[in-house]
Amino acid sequence: MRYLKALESIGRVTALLLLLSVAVSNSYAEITVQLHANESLPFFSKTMQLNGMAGEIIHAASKAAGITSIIEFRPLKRMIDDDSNNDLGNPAFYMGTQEFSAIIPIAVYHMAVFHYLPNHPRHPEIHAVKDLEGHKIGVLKGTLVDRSQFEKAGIVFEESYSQESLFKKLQKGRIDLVIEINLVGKTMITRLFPSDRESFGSVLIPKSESPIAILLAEKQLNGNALGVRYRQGLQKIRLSGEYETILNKYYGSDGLPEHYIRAMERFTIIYNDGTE
Amino acid sequence: MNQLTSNHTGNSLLVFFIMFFVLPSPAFATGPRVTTALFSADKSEIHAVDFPPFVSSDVVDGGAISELVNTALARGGVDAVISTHPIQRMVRYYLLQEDAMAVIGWHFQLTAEQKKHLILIPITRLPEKYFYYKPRHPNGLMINDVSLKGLRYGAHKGEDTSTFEKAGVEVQYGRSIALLKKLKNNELDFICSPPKTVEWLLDRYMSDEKENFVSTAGDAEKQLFYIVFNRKHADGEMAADKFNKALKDMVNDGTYGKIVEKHLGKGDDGKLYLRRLETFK
Repeated sequence: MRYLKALESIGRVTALLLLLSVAVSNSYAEITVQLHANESLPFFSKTMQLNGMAGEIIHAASKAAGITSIIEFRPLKRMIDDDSNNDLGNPAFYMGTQEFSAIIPIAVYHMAVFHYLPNHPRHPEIHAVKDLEGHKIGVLKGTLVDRSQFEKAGIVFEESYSQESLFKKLQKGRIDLVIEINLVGKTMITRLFPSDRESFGSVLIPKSESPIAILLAEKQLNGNALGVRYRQGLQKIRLSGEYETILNKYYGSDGLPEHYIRAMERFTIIYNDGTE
Repeated sequence: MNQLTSNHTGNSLLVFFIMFFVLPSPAFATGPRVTTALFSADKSEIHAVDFPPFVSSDVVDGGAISELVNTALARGGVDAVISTHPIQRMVRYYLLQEDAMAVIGWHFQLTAEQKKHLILIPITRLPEKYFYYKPRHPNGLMINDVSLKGLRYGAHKGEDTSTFEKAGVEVQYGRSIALLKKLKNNELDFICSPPKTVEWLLDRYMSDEKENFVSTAGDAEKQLFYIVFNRKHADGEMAADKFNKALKDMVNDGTYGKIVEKHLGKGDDGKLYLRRLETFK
Protein backbone atom coordinates (compact mmCIF):
# COMPACT_ATOMS: atom_id res chain seq x y z
CA MET A 1 0.00 0.00 0.00
CA ARG A 2 2.79 2.39 0.99
CA TYR A 3 4.53 1.41 -2.24
CA LEU A 4 1.42 2.33 -4.25
CA LYS A 5 1.09 5.69 -2.44
CA ALA A 6 4.74 6.44 -3.15
CA LEU A 7 4.22 5.63 -6.83
CA GLU A 8 1.16 7.89 -6.88
CA SER A 9 3.23 10.76 -5.37
CA ILE A 10 6.03 10.21 -7.87
CA GLY A 11 3.44 10.25 -10.66
CA ARG A 12 2.03 13.56 -9.43
CA VAL A 13 5.47 15.14 -9.17
CA THR A 14 6.41 13.84 -12.64
CA ALA A 15 3.20 15.24 -14.13
CA LEU A 16 3.89 18.59 -12.48
CA LEU A 17 7.47 18.62 -13.80
CA LEU A 18 6.19 17.74 -17.28
CA LEU A 19 3.70 20.59 -17.16
CA LEU A 20 6.42 22.99 -16.01
CA SER A 21 8.80 21.87 -18.75
CA VAL A 22 6.10 22.44 -21.38
CA ALA A 23 5.47 25.92 -19.99
CA VAL A 24 9.20 26.75 -19.99
CA SER A 25 9.74 25.37 -23.49
CA ASN A 26 6.72 27.34 -24.75
CA SER A 27 8.11 30.54 -23.27
CA TYR A 28 11.29 30.03 -25.28
CA ALA A 29 9.58 28.60 -28.35
CA GLU A 30 10.21 30.09 -31.77
CA ILE A 31 7.88 33.01 -32.20
CA THR A 32 7.05 35.12 -35.23
CA VAL A 33 6.78 38.89 -34.86
CA GLN A 34 5.61 41.30 -37.50
CA LEU A 35 7.40 44.66 -37.55
CA HIS A 36 6.68 47.65 -39.76
CA ALA A 37 9.44 49.72 -41.33
CA ASN A 38 9.64 52.64 -43.69
CA GLU A 39 11.95 52.56 -46.72
CA SER A 40 15.01 54.51 -45.51
CA LEU A 41 18.29 53.54 -47.12
CA PRO A 42 20.64 52.19 -45.86
CA PHE A 43 18.96 51.44 -42.53
CA PHE A 44 15.78 49.79 -43.78
CA SER A 45 15.11 48.75 -47.36
CA LYS A 46 12.92 46.21 -49.07
CA THR A 47 15.48 45.82 -51.85
CA MET A 48 18.65 45.42 -49.79
CA GLN A 49 19.94 42.10 -48.59
CA LEU A 50 18.43 41.35 -45.16
CA ASN A 51 16.57 44.67 -45.31
CA GLY A 52 19.54 47.03 -44.80
CA MET A 53 21.78 47.76 -41.80
CA ALA A 54 19.11 47.91 -39.09
CA GLY A 55 17.25 45.06 -40.82
CA GLU A 56 20.38 42.88 -40.63
CA ILE A 57 20.79 43.68 -36.93
CA ILE A 58 17.15 42.79 -36.25
CA HIS A 59 17.35 39.49 -38.14
CA ALA A 60 20.64 38.53 -36.41
CA ALA A 61 19.36 39.46 -32.93
CA SER A 62 16.08 37.67 -33.64
CA LYS A 63 17.87 34.51 -34.69
CA ALA A 64 19.97 34.62 -31.52
CA ALA A 65 16.77 35.03 -29.49
CA GLY A 66 14.73 32.35 -31.26
CA ILE A 67 12.42 34.91 -32.85
CA THR A 68 11.42 35.16 -36.49
CA SER A 69 11.03 38.84 -37.30
CA ILE A 70 9.13 39.71 -40.43
CA ILE A 71 9.74 43.25 -41.63
CA GLU A 72 6.95 44.75 -43.72
CA PHE A 73 7.40 48.09 -45.46
CA ARG A 74 4.81 50.84 -45.21
CA PRO A 75 4.60 54.60 -45.80
CA LEU A 76 5.64 56.43 -42.62
CA LYS A 77 2.34 58.27 -42.23
CA ARG A 78 0.48 54.94 -42.12
CA MET A 79 2.89 53.68 -39.49
CA ILE A 80 2.42 56.76 -37.34
CA ASP A 81 -1.37 56.71 -37.74
CA ASP A 82 -1.59 53.01 -36.80
CA ASP A 83 -1.76 52.78 -32.98
CA SER A 84 -1.67 48.99 -32.78
CA ASN A 85 1.37 47.98 -34.82
CA ASN A 86 5.02 47.27 -33.99
CA ASP A 87 7.20 50.04 -35.42
CA LEU A 88 10.84 50.34 -36.42
CA GLY A 89 12.77 53.61 -36.43
CA ASN A 90 13.41 56.62 -34.22
CA PRO A 91 11.04 56.36 -31.20
CA ALA A 92 10.56 60.15 -31.25
CA PHE A 93 8.47 59.82 -34.42
CA TYR A 94 5.98 57.40 -32.86
CA MET A 95 5.88 58.09 -29.14
CA GLY A 96 3.81 61.23 -29.47
CA THR A 97 0.73 59.22 -30.39
CA GLN A 98 1.30 55.58 -29.45
CA GLU A 99 2.08 53.68 -26.25
CA PHE A 100 4.53 50.78 -26.42
CA SER A 101 5.13 47.77 -24.19
CA ALA A 102 8.86 47.66 -24.98
CA ILE A 103 11.35 49.79 -26.86
CA ILE A 104 14.64 48.16 -27.81
CA PRO A 105 17.31 50.46 -29.27
CA ILE A 106 19.31 48.48 -31.85
CA ALA A 107 21.47 51.13 -33.53
CA VAL A 108 22.41 54.80 -33.53
CA TYR A 109 22.49 57.31 -36.36
CA HIS A 110 24.14 60.70 -36.62
CA MET A 111 23.48 63.79 -38.63
CA ALA A 112 25.97 65.57 -40.85
CA VAL A 113 26.36 68.75 -42.87
CA PHE A 114 27.26 67.93 -46.48
CA HIS A 115 28.95 70.24 -48.96
CA TYR A 116 30.28 69.98 -52.52
CA LEU A 117 34.02 70.60 -52.56
CA PRO A 118 34.29 72.27 -56.01
CA ASN A 119 31.82 74.91 -54.79
CA HIS A 120 32.81 74.99 -51.11
CA PRO A 121 36.31 73.59 -50.67
CA ARG A 122 36.47 74.26 -46.91
CA HIS A 123 34.61 72.15 -44.39
CA PRO A 124 31.76 74.24 -42.97
CA GLU A 125 32.35 75.33 -39.37
CA ILE A 126 28.88 74.99 -37.86
CA HIS A 127 28.95 75.26 -34.08
CA ALA A 128 25.97 77.52 -33.49
CA VAL A 129 22.75 78.50 -35.23
CA LYS A 130 24.30 81.82 -36.29
CA ASP A 131 26.97 79.88 -38.24
CA LEU A 132 24.22 78.80 -40.64
CA GLU A 133 23.57 82.43 -41.58
CA GLY A 134 24.41 83.37 -45.14
CA HIS A 135 24.22 79.79 -46.38
CA LYS A 136 21.56 78.28 -48.59
CA ILE A 137 20.74 75.13 -46.64
CA GLY A 138 18.80 72.18 -47.99
CA VAL A 139 16.73 69.87 -45.80
CA LEU A 140 14.21 67.15 -46.51
CA LYS A 141 10.61 68.30 -46.35
CA GLY A 142 9.10 67.45 -42.97
CA THR A 143 12.36 67.31 -41.04
CA LEU A 144 12.48 70.94 -39.90
CA VAL A 145 11.21 70.91 -36.32
CA ASP A 146 11.35 74.36 -34.69
CA ARG A 147 10.99 76.42 -37.84
CA SER A 148 9.94 79.59 -36.01
CA GLN A 149 13.16 79.62 -33.95
CA PHE A 150 15.28 79.34 -37.09
CA GLU A 151 13.27 82.07 -38.82
CA LYS A 152 13.77 84.30 -35.79
CA ALA A 153 17.51 83.77 -36.21
CA GLY A 154 17.23 84.67 -39.91
CA ILE A 155 17.95 81.15 -41.16
CA VAL A 156 15.97 80.10 -44.20
CA PHE A 157 15.93 76.56 -45.48
CA GLU A 158 15.28 75.17 -48.93
CA GLU A 159 13.07 72.13 -48.47
CA SER A 160 12.99 69.28 -50.99
CA TYR A 161 10.67 66.34 -51.26
CA SER A 162 13.43 63.83 -51.96
CA GLN A 163 17.01 63.21 -50.97
CA GLU A 164 17.93 62.81 -54.65
CA SER A 165 16.73 66.34 -55.32
CA LEU A 166 18.69 67.71 -52.32
CA PHE A 167 22.02 66.27 -53.39
CA LYS A 168 21.52 67.16 -57.07
CA LYS A 169 20.88 70.78 -56.01
CA LEU A 170 24.03 70.62 -53.87
CA GLN A 171 26.14 69.42 -56.78
CA LYS A 172 24.72 72.08 -59.12
CA GLY A 173 25.47 74.81 -56.58
CA ARG A 174 21.84 75.76 -56.08
CA ILE A 175 22.30 75.18 -52.35
CA ASP A 176 25.46 75.44 -50.24
CA LEU A 177 24.86 72.80 -47.58
CA VAL A 178 22.61 69.81 -46.96
CA ILE A 179 21.67 68.60 -43.48
CA GLU A 180 21.04 64.88 -43.63
CA ILE A 181 21.70 61.63 -41.77
CA ASN A 182 25.36 60.80 -42.19
CA LEU A 183 24.94 57.30 -43.67
CA VAL A 184 21.87 58.26 -45.70
CA GLY A 185 23.72 61.16 -47.34
CA LYS A 186 26.75 59.03 -48.15
CA THR A 187 24.60 56.25 -49.60
CA MET A 188 22.70 58.76 -51.71
CA ILE A 189 25.88 60.41 -53.01
CA THR A 190 27.37 57.01 -53.96
CA ARG A 191 24.20 56.07 -55.84
CA LEU A 192 23.76 59.39 -57.64
CA PHE A 193 27.37 60.32 -58.34
CA PRO A 194 29.48 57.13 -58.29
CA SER A 195 32.36 58.72 -60.19
CA ASP A 196 32.19 62.06 -58.35
CA ARG A 197 31.54 60.94 -54.78
CA GLU A 198 35.00 62.06 -53.61
CA SER A 199 33.95 65.64 -54.44
CA PHE A 200 31.48 65.67 -51.55
CA GLY A 201 32.57 66.49 -48.04
CA SER A 202 30.72 66.11 -44.77
CA VAL A 203 31.08 67.10 -41.13
CA LEU A 204 29.31 65.19 -38.35
CA ILE A 205 27.12 67.37 -36.15
CA PRO A 206 28.22 66.86 -32.52
CA LYS A 207 25.63 65.39 -30.14
CA SER A 208 23.32 64.62 -33.07
CA GLU A 209 22.90 60.94 -32.31
CA SER A 210 19.42 59.39 -32.37
CA PRO A 211 18.33 55.80 -31.75
CA ILE A 212 16.89 53.30 -34.19
CA ALA A 213 14.68 50.98 -32.19
CA ILE A 214 12.22 48.11 -32.27
CA LEU A 215 9.00 49.47 -30.76
CA LEU A 216 6.60 46.76 -29.61
CA ALA A 217 2.98 47.88 -29.44
CA GLU A 218 1.26 48.11 -26.07
CA LYS A 219 -1.13 45.40 -27.26
CA GLN A 220 1.56 43.10 -28.68
CA LEU A 221 1.01 39.71 -27.05
CA ASN A 222 3.61 39.23 -24.29
CA GLY A 223 5.25 42.49 -25.36
CA ASN A 224 7.40 42.87 -22.24
CA ALA A 225 8.70 39.29 -22.39
CA LEU A 226 9.33 39.65 -26.11
CA GLY A 227 11.28 42.84 -25.42
CA VAL A 228 13.49 40.94 -22.97
CA ARG A 229 14.16 38.29 -25.62
CA TYR A 230 15.07 40.88 -28.26
CA ARG A 231 17.45 42.55 -25.78
CA GLN A 232 19.03 39.20 -24.97
CA GLY A 233 19.44 38.44 -28.68
CA LEU A 234 21.01 41.84 -29.26
CA GLN A 235 23.40 41.31 -26.36
CA LYS A 236 24.41 37.91 -27.80
CA ILE A 237 25.31 39.34 -31.21
CA ARG A 238 27.16 42.26 -29.60
CA LEU A 239 29.27 39.83 -27.56
CA SER A 240 29.90 37.51 -30.52
CA GLY A 241 31.11 40.37 -32.73
CA GLU A 242 28.34 39.87 -35.29
CA TYR A 243 26.85 43.29 -34.44
CA GLU A 244 30.15 45.07 -35.08
CA THR A 245 30.64 43.16 -38.35
CA ILE A 246 27.28 44.40 -39.59
CA LEU A 247 28.06 48.02 -38.63
CA ASN A 248 31.51 47.89 -40.26
CA LYS A 249 29.94 46.65 -43.48
CA TYR A 250 27.91 49.85 -43.74
CA TYR A 251 30.27 52.40 -42.20
CA GLY A 252 33.20 51.03 -44.25
CA SER A 253 36.54 52.80 -44.14
CA ASP A 254 35.07 55.86 -42.37
CA GLY A 255 34.66 53.74 -39.26
CA LEU A 256 32.05 54.16 -36.58
CA PRO A 257 31.29 57.73 -35.52
CA GLU A 258 32.98 58.73 -32.25
CA HIS A 259 30.91 57.88 -29.17
CA TYR A 260 28.67 55.45 -31.13
CA ILE A 261 28.89 52.77 -28.46
CA ARG A 262 28.41 55.28 -25.62
CA ALA A 263 25.31 56.65 -27.32
CA MET A 264 24.00 53.11 -27.82
CA GLU A 265 24.53 52.39 -24.10
CA ARG A 266 22.73 55.60 -23.14
CA PHE A 267 19.69 54.85 -25.29
CA THR A 268 19.61 51.29 -23.96
CA ILE A 269 19.48 52.61 -20.36
CA ILE A 270 16.85 55.23 -21.18
CA TYR A 271 14.47 52.77 -22.83
CA ASN A 272 15.36 49.59 -20.92
CA ASP A 273 12.82 49.77 -18.09
CA GLY A 274 9.75 50.42 -20.17
CA THR A 275 8.48 53.39 -22.06
CA GLU A 276 7.97 55.90 -19.25
CA MET B 1 -20.09 69.87 -17.37
CA ASN B 2 -18.09 71.91 -19.85
CA GLN B 3 -17.80 70.98 -23.47
CA LEU B 4 -14.47 71.91 -24.91
CA THR B 5 -16.05 73.74 -27.80
CA SER B 6 -18.17 75.85 -25.50
CA ASN B 7 -15.09 77.31 -23.87
CA HIS B 8 -15.47 81.07 -24.12
CA THR B 9 -11.98 81.62 -25.43
CA GLY B 10 -11.80 78.37 -27.34
CA ASN B 11 -12.58 79.69 -30.80
CA SER B 12 -10.15 82.57 -30.75
CA LEU B 13 -7.44 80.34 -29.36
CA LEU B 14 -8.14 77.69 -31.94
CA VAL B 15 -7.64 80.22 -34.72
CA PHE B 16 -4.51 81.47 -33.01
CA PHE B 17 -3.01 78.04 -32.67
CA ILE B 18 -3.96 76.93 -36.17
CA MET B 19 -2.28 80.06 -37.53
CA PHE B 20 0.95 79.27 -35.78
CA PHE B 21 1.13 75.52 -35.64
CA VAL B 22 3.95 73.97 -37.50
CA LEU B 23 2.93 70.43 -38.26
CA PRO B 24 5.93 68.62 -39.62
CA SER B 25 5.25 65.24 -41.15
CA PRO B 26 8.49 63.31 -41.12
CA ALA B 27 9.35 61.56 -44.35
CA PHE B 28 11.49 58.76 -42.95
CA ALA B 29 11.31 56.77 -39.74
CA THR B 30 15.05 57.29 -39.35
CA GLY B 31 14.98 60.84 -40.65
CA PRO B 32 16.76 63.86 -39.26
CA ARG B 33 15.05 66.23 -36.84
CA VAL B 34 16.49 69.63 -37.62
CA THR B 35 16.24 71.63 -34.39
CA THR B 36 18.06 74.69 -33.07
CA ALA B 37 19.36 72.50 -30.23
CA LEU B 38 21.24 70.51 -32.88
CA PHE B 39 23.50 73.50 -33.52
CA SER B 40 24.10 74.34 -29.89
CA ALA B 41 26.62 71.68 -28.88
CA ASP B 42 28.64 74.20 -26.89
CA LYS B 43 25.64 75.35 -24.86
CA SER B 44 24.26 73.72 -21.75
CA GLU B 45 21.06 71.76 -22.36
CA ILE B 46 17.78 72.16 -20.53
CA HIS B 47 15.71 69.04 -21.03
CA ALA B 48 11.92 69.10 -21.18
CA VAL B 49 9.09 66.69 -21.91
CA ASP B 50 7.06 67.56 -24.96
CA PHE B 51 3.90 69.05 -23.44
CA PRO B 52 1.86 71.00 -25.97
CA PRO B 53 0.89 73.75 -26.15
CA PHE B 54 3.14 74.86 -23.28
CA VAL B 55 6.41 73.17 -24.26
CA SER B 56 6.60 71.78 -27.77
CA SER B 57 8.67 72.17 -30.89
CA ASP B 58 5.36 71.98 -32.78
CA VAL B 59 4.21 75.35 -31.41
CA VAL B 60 5.53 78.78 -32.37
CA ASP B 61 8.54 79.74 -30.22
CA GLY B 62 8.25 76.38 -28.49
CA GLY B 63 5.06 77.30 -26.61
CA ALA B 64 4.35 79.69 -23.73
CA ILE B 65 6.56 78.04 -21.10
CA SER B 66 9.48 77.56 -23.51
CA GLU B 67 9.34 81.22 -24.47
CA LEU B 68 9.17 82.29 -20.82
CA VAL B 69 12.21 80.13 -20.03
CA ASN B 70 14.17 81.20 -23.12
CA THR B 71 13.50 84.87 -22.41
CA ALA B 72 14.55 84.54 -18.76
CA LEU B 73 17.69 82.65 -19.78
CA ALA B 74 18.62 85.31 -22.32
CA ARG B 75 17.99 88.13 -19.84
CA GLY B 76 19.99 86.39 -17.16
CA GLY B 77 22.85 85.73 -19.55
CA VAL B 78 22.55 81.97 -19.19
CA ASP B 79 23.79 80.28 -22.38
CA ALA B 80 21.51 77.27 -22.62
CA VAL B 81 19.12 75.67 -25.06
CA ILE B 82 15.92 73.66 -24.52
CA SER B 83 15.76 70.11 -25.89
CA THR B 84 12.36 68.43 -25.87
CA HIS B 85 11.88 64.69 -25.41
CA PRO B 86 8.88 62.41 -25.84
CA ILE B 87 8.98 60.79 -22.40
CA GLN B 88 9.45 61.85 -18.79
CA ARG B 89 12.03 59.20 -17.96
CA MET B 90 14.43 60.68 -20.55
CA VAL B 91 14.27 64.02 -18.75
CA ARG B 92 14.81 62.36 -15.37
CA TYR B 93 17.74 60.40 -16.85
CA TYR B 94 19.49 63.54 -18.08
CA LEU B 95 18.87 65.31 -14.75
CA LEU B 96 19.82 62.52 -12.38
CA GLN B 97 22.25 60.37 -14.38
CA GLU B 98 24.05 62.86 -16.61
CA ASP B 99 23.78 65.90 -14.30
CA ALA B 100 22.22 68.16 -16.91
CA MET B 101 22.15 71.83 -15.95
CA ALA B 102 18.35 71.95 -15.73
CA VAL B 103 15.07 70.32 -16.72
CA ILE B 104 11.55 71.68 -17.18
CA GLY B 105 8.39 69.80 -16.26
CA TRP B 106 6.02 68.57 -13.58
CA HIS B 107 5.21 65.37 -11.68
CA PHE B 108 8.93 64.76 -11.11
CA GLN B 109 8.44 62.67 -7.93
CA LEU B 110 11.87 63.58 -6.61
CA THR B 111 13.08 62.08 -3.36
CA ALA B 112 14.29 64.24 -0.45
CA GLU B 113 17.83 63.05 -1.16
CA GLN B 114 17.57 64.05 -4.84
CA LYS B 115 16.11 67.44 -3.92
CA LYS B 116 19.22 68.26 -1.87
CA HIS B 117 21.11 68.67 -5.13
CA LEU B 118 18.36 70.49 -6.99
CA ILE B 119 16.88 73.99 -7.08
CA LEU B 120 13.18 74.03 -8.00
CA ILE B 121 11.83 77.29 -9.43
CA PRO B 122 8.11 77.41 -10.27
CA ILE B 123 7.35 78.93 -13.66
CA THR B 124 3.57 78.72 -13.67
CA ARG B 125 0.67 76.93 -12.08
CA LEU B 126 -1.32 74.84 -14.51
CA PRO B 127 -5.05 74.57 -13.83
CA GLU B 128 -6.40 71.09 -14.57
CA LYS B 129 -9.81 69.56 -15.12
CA TYR B 130 -11.21 66.04 -15.21
CA PHE B 131 -12.18 64.88 -18.68
CA TYR B 132 -14.31 61.96 -19.81
CA TYR B 133 -15.76 60.69 -23.09
CA LYS B 134 -19.41 61.63 -23.20
CA PRO B 135 -20.69 58.72 -25.38
CA ARG B 136 -19.39 56.32 -22.67
CA HIS B 137 -20.95 58.36 -19.87
CA PRO B 138 -23.99 60.07 -21.43
CA ASN B 139 -25.38 61.02 -18.00
CA GLY B 140 -22.16 62.70 -16.99
CA LEU B 141 -19.50 61.65 -14.53
CA MET B 142 -19.24 62.68 -10.90
CA ILE B 143 -15.72 62.72 -9.53
CA ASN B 144 -16.09 62.29 -5.79
CA ASP B 145 -15.05 59.68 -3.26
CA VAL B 146 -18.42 57.92 -3.32
CA SER B 147 -18.73 57.54 -7.06
CA LEU B 148 -15.21 56.47 -7.94
CA LYS B 149 -15.11 52.76 -7.04
CA GLY B 150 -14.69 50.59 -10.10
CA LEU B 151 -13.75 53.44 -12.41
CA ARG B 152 -10.52 53.53 -14.41
CA TYR B 153 -8.29 56.60 -14.19
CA GLY B 154 -5.62 57.58 -16.72
CA ALA B 155 -2.65 59.23 -15.02
CA HIS B 156 0.51 60.89 -16.23
CA LYS B 157 3.67 59.21 -15.02
CA GLY B 158 4.72 60.68 -11.68
CA GLU B 159 1.22 61.83 -10.75
CA ASP B 160 0.13 61.24 -7.16
CA THR B 161 -2.72 58.75 -7.57
CA SER B 162 -2.92 57.51 -3.99
CA THR B 163 -6.32 59.11 -3.34
CA PHE B 164 -7.84 57.38 -6.33
CA GLU B 165 -6.26 54.05 -5.48
CA LYS B 166 -7.66 54.24 -1.94
CA ALA B 167 -11.08 54.95 -3.43
CA GLY B 168 -10.94 51.71 -5.46
CA VAL B 169 -10.02 53.25 -8.80
CA GLU B 170 -7.91 51.28 -11.28
CA VAL B 171 -5.01 53.50 -12.39
CA GLN B 172 -3.29 53.24 -15.77
CA TYR B 173 -0.39 55.42 -16.89
CA GLY B 174 0.35 57.01 -20.22
CA ARG B 175 0.99 60.19 -22.16
CA SER B 176 -1.84 62.65 -22.75
CA ILE B 177 -2.76 61.65 -26.30
CA ALA B 178 -2.70 57.95 -25.44
CA LEU B 179 -4.94 58.63 -22.45
CA LEU B 180 -7.43 60.50 -24.64
CA LYS B 181 -7.51 57.60 -27.08
CA LYS B 182 -8.11 55.20 -24.21
CA LEU B 183 -11.03 57.32 -23.04
CA LYS B 184 -12.55 57.01 -26.48
CA ASN B 185 -11.88 53.24 -26.64
CA ASN B 186 -13.54 52.68 -23.26
CA GLU B 187 -10.29 51.57 -21.68
CA LEU B 188 -10.45 54.48 -19.23
CA ASP B 189 -13.24 56.46 -17.59
CA PHE B 190 -11.55 59.75 -16.75
CA ILE B 191 -8.30 61.63 -16.87
CA CYS B 192 -6.95 64.87 -15.40
CA SER B 193 -5.23 67.37 -17.67
CA PRO B 194 -4.82 71.08 -18.38
CA PRO B 195 -7.74 72.00 -20.68
CA LYS B 196 -5.37 73.71 -23.11
CA THR B 197 -3.44 70.47 -23.60
CA VAL B 198 -6.61 68.49 -24.26
CA GLU B 199 -7.85 71.14 -26.67
CA TRP B 200 -4.53 71.20 -28.55
CA LEU B 201 -4.29 67.41 -28.85
CA LEU B 202 -7.90 67.00 -29.94
CA ASP B 203 -7.49 69.73 -32.56
CA ARG B 204 -4.46 68.00 -33.94
CA TYR B 205 -5.33 64.33 -33.68
CA MET B 206 -9.08 63.91 -33.16
CA SER B 207 -10.76 67.13 -34.29
CA ASP B 208 -13.94 65.32 -35.37
CA GLU B 209 -14.30 63.94 -31.83
CA LYS B 210 -13.83 67.22 -29.98
CA GLU B 211 -17.49 67.54 -28.96
CA ASN B 212 -17.35 64.16 -27.23
CA PHE B 213 -14.60 65.00 -24.74
CA VAL B 214 -16.09 66.96 -21.87
CA SER B 215 -14.82 68.17 -18.54
CA THR B 216 -16.47 68.09 -15.15
CA ALA B 217 -17.36 71.38 -13.49
CA GLY B 218 -14.67 73.29 -11.63
CA ASP B 219 -10.93 72.89 -11.50
CA ALA B 220 -9.53 69.51 -10.53
CA GLU B 221 -5.91 70.02 -9.65
CA LYS B 222 -3.46 72.86 -9.83
CA GLN B 223 0.03 71.66 -10.62
CA LEU B 224 3.17 73.72 -10.44
CA PHE B 225 5.32 73.57 -13.52
CA TYR B 226 8.98 73.93 -12.61
CA ILE B 227 12.39 74.55 -13.97
CA VAL B 228 14.75 72.42 -11.90
CA PHE B 229 18.41 73.45 -11.79
CA ASN B 230 21.09 70.95 -10.86
CA ARG B 231 23.69 71.81 -8.22
CA LYS B 232 25.83 68.96 -9.56
CA HIS B 233 26.28 70.88 -12.83
CA ALA B 234 29.20 73.32 -12.68
CA ASP B 235 26.98 76.29 -13.63
CA GLY B 236 23.72 75.00 -12.14
CA GLU B 237 23.54 77.13 -8.99
CA MET B 238 24.71 80.34 -10.66
CA ALA B 239 22.29 79.80 -13.57
CA ALA B 240 19.42 79.27 -11.11
CA ASP B 241 20.13 82.61 -9.40
CA LYS B 242 20.31 84.47 -12.70
CA PHE B 243 17.19 82.77 -14.01
CA ASN B 244 15.19 83.43 -10.87
CA LYS B 245 16.06 87.13 -10.87
CA ALA B 246 15.28 87.47 -14.58
CA LEU B 247 11.91 85.70 -14.17
CA LYS B 248 10.91 88.01 -11.31
CA ASP B 249 11.91 91.05 -13.38
CA MET B 250 9.80 89.71 -16.27
CA VAL B 251 6.77 89.46 -13.99
CA ASN B 252 7.30 92.99 -12.67
CA ASP B 253 7.91 94.71 -16.00
CA GLY B 254 5.04 92.95 -17.78
CA THR B 255 7.13 90.77 -20.11
CA TYR B 256 5.78 87.62 -18.50
CA GLY B 257 2.21 88.79 -19.09
CA LYS B 258 2.88 89.68 -22.71
CA ILE B 259 4.30 86.22 -23.44
CA VAL B 260 1.37 84.48 -21.74
CA GLU B 261 -1.04 86.73 -23.63
CA LYS B 262 0.70 85.99 -26.93
CA HIS B 263 0.20 82.26 -26.48
CA LEU B 264 -3.02 82.06 -24.49
CA GLY B 265 -4.87 85.19 -25.52
CA LYS B 266 -6.19 88.22 -23.67
CA GLY B 267 -9.20 86.35 -22.33
CA ASP B 268 -9.69 84.58 -19.05
CA ASP B 269 -7.24 81.83 -19.94
CA GLY B 270 -4.31 84.19 -20.14
CA LYS B 271 -5.37 85.99 -16.97
CA LEU B 272 -5.70 82.67 -15.18
CA TYR B 273 -2.02 81.88 -15.62
CA LEU B 274 -0.99 85.35 -14.54
CA ARG B 275 -3.19 85.19 -11.48
CA ARG B 276 -1.74 81.86 -10.49
CA LEU B 277 1.79 83.17 -10.70
CA GLU B 278 1.05 85.83 -8.10
CA THR B 279 0.52 83.10 -5.53
CA PHE B 280 4.13 81.97 -5.62
CA LYS B 281 5.99 85.16 -6.55
